Amino acid sequence: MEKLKKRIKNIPNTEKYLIVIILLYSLVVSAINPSFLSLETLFDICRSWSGMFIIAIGTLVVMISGGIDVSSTAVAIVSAHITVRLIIAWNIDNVLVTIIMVIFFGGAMGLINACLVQLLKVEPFIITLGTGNVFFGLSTMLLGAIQIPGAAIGKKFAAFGSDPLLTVTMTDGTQVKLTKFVVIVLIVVLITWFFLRRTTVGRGIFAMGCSEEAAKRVGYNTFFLKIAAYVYAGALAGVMGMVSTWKVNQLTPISLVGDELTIIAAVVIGGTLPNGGRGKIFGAFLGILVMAIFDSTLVLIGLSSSWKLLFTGIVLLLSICATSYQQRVKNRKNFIFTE
Amino acid sequence: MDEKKADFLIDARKISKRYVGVQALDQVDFSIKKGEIKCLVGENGCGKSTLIKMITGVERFDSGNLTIDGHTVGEHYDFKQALKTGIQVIYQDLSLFDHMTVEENIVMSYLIANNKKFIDPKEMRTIAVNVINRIGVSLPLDTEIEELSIANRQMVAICRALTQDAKVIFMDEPTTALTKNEVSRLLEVVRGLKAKQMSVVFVSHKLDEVFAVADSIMVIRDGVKVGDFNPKELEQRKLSYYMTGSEVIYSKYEKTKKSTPPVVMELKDLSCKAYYHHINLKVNKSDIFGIIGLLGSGRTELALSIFGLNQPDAGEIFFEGVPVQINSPKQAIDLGIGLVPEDRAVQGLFLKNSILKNVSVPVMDAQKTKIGSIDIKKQELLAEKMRKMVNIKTPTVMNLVETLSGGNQQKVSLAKWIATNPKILILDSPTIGIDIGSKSEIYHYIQELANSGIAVIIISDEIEEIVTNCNRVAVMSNGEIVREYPSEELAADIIQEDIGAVIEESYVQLRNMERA
Amino acid sequence: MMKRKKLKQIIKLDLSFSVLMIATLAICIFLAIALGGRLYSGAVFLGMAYSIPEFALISIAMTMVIIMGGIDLSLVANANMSGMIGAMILSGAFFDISKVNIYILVMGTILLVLLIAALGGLINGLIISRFSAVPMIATLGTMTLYNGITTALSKGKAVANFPKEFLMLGTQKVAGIPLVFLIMLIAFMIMVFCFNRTGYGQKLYLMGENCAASRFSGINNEKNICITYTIAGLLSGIASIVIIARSNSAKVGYGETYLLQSVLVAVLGGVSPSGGKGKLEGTLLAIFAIYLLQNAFNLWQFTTFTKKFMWGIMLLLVMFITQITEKYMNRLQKKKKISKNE
Repeated sequence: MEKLKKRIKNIPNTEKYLIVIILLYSLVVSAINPSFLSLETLFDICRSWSGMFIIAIGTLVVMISGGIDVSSTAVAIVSAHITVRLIIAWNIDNVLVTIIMVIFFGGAMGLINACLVQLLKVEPFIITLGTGNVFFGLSTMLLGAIQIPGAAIGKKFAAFGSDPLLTVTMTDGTQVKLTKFVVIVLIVVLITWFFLRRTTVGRGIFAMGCSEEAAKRVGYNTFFLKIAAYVYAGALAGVMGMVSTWKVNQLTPISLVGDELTIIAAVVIGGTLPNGGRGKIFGAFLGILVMAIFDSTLVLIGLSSSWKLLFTGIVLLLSICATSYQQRVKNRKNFIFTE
Repeated sequence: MDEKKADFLIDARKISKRYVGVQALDQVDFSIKKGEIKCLVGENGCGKSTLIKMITGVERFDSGNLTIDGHTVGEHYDFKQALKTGIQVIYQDLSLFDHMTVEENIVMSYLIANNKKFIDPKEMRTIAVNVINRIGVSLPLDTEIEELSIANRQMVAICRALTQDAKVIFMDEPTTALTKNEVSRLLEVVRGLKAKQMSVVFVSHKLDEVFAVADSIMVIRDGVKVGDFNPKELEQRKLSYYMTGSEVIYSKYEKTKKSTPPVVMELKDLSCKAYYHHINLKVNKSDIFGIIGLLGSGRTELALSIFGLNQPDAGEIFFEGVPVQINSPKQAIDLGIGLVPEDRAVQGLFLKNSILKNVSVPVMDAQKTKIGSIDIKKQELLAEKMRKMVNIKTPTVMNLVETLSGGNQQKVSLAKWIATNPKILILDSPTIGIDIGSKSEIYHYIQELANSGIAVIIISDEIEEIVTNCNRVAVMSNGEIVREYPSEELAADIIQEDIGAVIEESYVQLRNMERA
Repeated sequence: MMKRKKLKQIIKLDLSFSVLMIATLAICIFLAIALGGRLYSGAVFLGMAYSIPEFALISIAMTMVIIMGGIDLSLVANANMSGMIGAMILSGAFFDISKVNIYILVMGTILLVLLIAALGGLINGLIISRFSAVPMIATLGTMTLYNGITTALSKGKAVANFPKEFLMLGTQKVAGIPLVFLIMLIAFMIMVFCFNRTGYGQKLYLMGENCAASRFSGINNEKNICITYTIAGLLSGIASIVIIARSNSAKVGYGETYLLQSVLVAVLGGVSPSGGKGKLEGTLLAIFAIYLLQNAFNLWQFTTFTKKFMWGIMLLLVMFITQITEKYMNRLQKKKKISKNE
């Protein structure tokens, strides 16, 4: 009990506010429309938002390292596109191999990002703005933009997206299906947690986010750390691209691009410091959860989907103000005036 | 020759390094025995930082020989290798990670030096606790660095360096917030590791500290080694002489004008949160008022309050007899208050802008043409006038400030504020990192300013600086003024030792209170 | 001889700016050679005079904000939001417009749109100055909010059919030059004067270079941040009027590419992404070059994807060029400093 109390105390304020908002909102929604609080909603959210959570985790890692990656969605869809074309051409119908391939291509693009960030010494925002366009433009130029249905990709491939992990039969006879994506999500979360908290490289990413100069002085190779962060983000983006393809059972080469700022928004809502040095997976989870809840439930309380952005925007701004102000107070205490 | 070498932990012979156009090091020898505490002293720009860089592998020397623990270093010697051979460096800015906890910061060196890939939380905790106990401090292991006081941060930096069985630690002015007692105690601990034969290379500009702790003192001047000295056979003035190559005597400030009322500024019972409390002082025209104390005593916080950047929550400020609330630097400037800040690179100057621009900034709004646009001619005139007044060594005021030497940069900072025609000018650590030549020039200008009727406050931690330039001194400790010296007392011979003792004593009390 | 020396001095003073200007001119020249009369024709230039202003206004706003050390991702969203509100008024969505004097309606709507856009900018300024939020993140938030407002109001659909008195703004010419182009020119000239000759402009550059030093020098950072973002908002408000007058419609998501392109145009024009450096004149030249390039792409029948690729490559190339010139300049500086010390 003591340990639990201590754990709760240690949760940063932003996350506490978010949890409160989510709980309150859920209560309100379920009061208006009881069907909200159902297993079906839960499983629906799992299916629709698993991919976003995965890519958000990748973005989280990059942001902790002090950078930012707005090419994430481009990397996602391009690596998925390339992978799909290859597995069709080479006649591969194996989910594991597919995942490995997409990780490879996503990671490769992440490597390019890391090298450019190191070489050009400019804001990662601008660099990844450029690379995102280059990746996306180049791949659609060379590979085209035709949609490819899941069936054309492979039987097992299509099955992975549509076959449930487990099926629950409700009291009224309907069946609710939990997607297999949650397995991927769990693995990603575990690996990321271990990477960030139990490896020296992970800790180096936090250090570099605090101060690149200090990280160098302590002996870290900051170029290597950047590579680690961006490649990891690229790999996860690739996974998300594939999950998206599974979700709709077709590859749409022009999808996803445009959502990259939404992902950053989710990570920021969760309390990650935009300049780096601090961030939690749980925070990213809450950020995605907030968006997921708004997305699926506005309809349930009678508001059309055109209100989704508005709600998201408000929560995002509130979160930004709270996190930033906290940091400002700390800075002023130390008489730091650099913002 | 060879048996002697075995005695030395680091033996550097005839190290030379040339940067584009300047010989930073010219055949410098440096050696330190196992378990020795050596102090490296010299002026700003003399080459001591460069020497440390060469020995710690941060950069490669052009010629010479470096042997560490009997092994001569090869072509590929780099910082990581230095870490592996047992070298640890504590930097002046500490290089800590603000958003990470004390424990995470402390164990970082350990992780990297031992090439650890994975982290075991229990092991980390044990390491951190061990080193803290060894030094005898108490630090909150799970608190983030940005929540700690400066003194505690310096402790964390030192702990971090000691997690390794380091063979030699290089410390670059890491003790500015610690008392002599604490530094001594720390070095006692370090000396106590003589069994493990740990050496310390200490860089400090605080000559009295150097004398208190060093086994030997090495002096560098202009890239050339002047010599190794035994502190027992050396005295401070001689050391200054070796460092600068000349007998430098600063002229003492004698206030010639009588104080005519009103008092320029008076602080009554001023308090501000935890930074300082119940501050009472009066500053008159032509006073040069010195505030001395260690880092963290509240001096800078007080200065920032007077300048409008740190709202006090109790007490009053009177300016020329009128009570004022200073809410912003602009307001302070309009009243006639100027502040030359401590950190000139970050707070005081726009390095990538011209001297002209820098000098004109605070008075920009006053230099407008009829239609309200900026009058470049007026700015040029002002910049030229300032250049002559404080002798900024530059061919043209259009040059960027970053092209100037440290001393000249500080002159620009000073000029900028003189241009505002202040009634009172506060100088926070005005001669940090400045060569002796510029130092005495700046002292001269400050004294000239005071003679012309401006009230000056100097905040410093160099007792000699304060005693030379000020006609009144206050000692601050833990947010309070613990002792004030009127001008008569400052003439006493032993005044410097007296002030030093007061500072030391107040901190001993403070640490005792903290421990209780 | 004297002139050449002076020219050399000027070029050396800001080498990266000069290099970028040369690069921009090179693009224009290359296009002239490659496409000749097809690109450099009266029709194209006239078309440019009509379609550039909205983008130019956004770019001026972006340049201004970047010079101050920030960035404004919400410019386009702000334009769309204020434009949408104006559009809805003009199309009678809020009240029956036939009952109101048409000229008062048009004037009133324009004022309202400008006010709302300026307010949108002010909100950015307040969040960034009072909460010390990182500009990119803060404007990401307001961008989301403004897009949200636009979507909620319009329910995702486009709004059209404005009174012809309003649409005249988009087509009217004054002395042969399109009105919208003149508006842009006037805005540009005012901003150039602001940047170069006013105290506010100088402070902008100083804050961009070092906001701690500017604070310690008595500059009111908070006030200037709010002013800058409000002006940026105002400029995007003017842009939105131009947009809806010319396209006779307003919808969410219009002008998405303008964001990346305005950043590209700013950096190509010599603005330093971290602030403190840059000239509006450079941005304008870059806008001209980019517009020609856009037209060239159309003439060469590039797909949207190819265009995206080109913009991305250009952005990276410009950064690369800037990096190299900076390195070269640093080496020169070091030589200068050392030779002085000798």
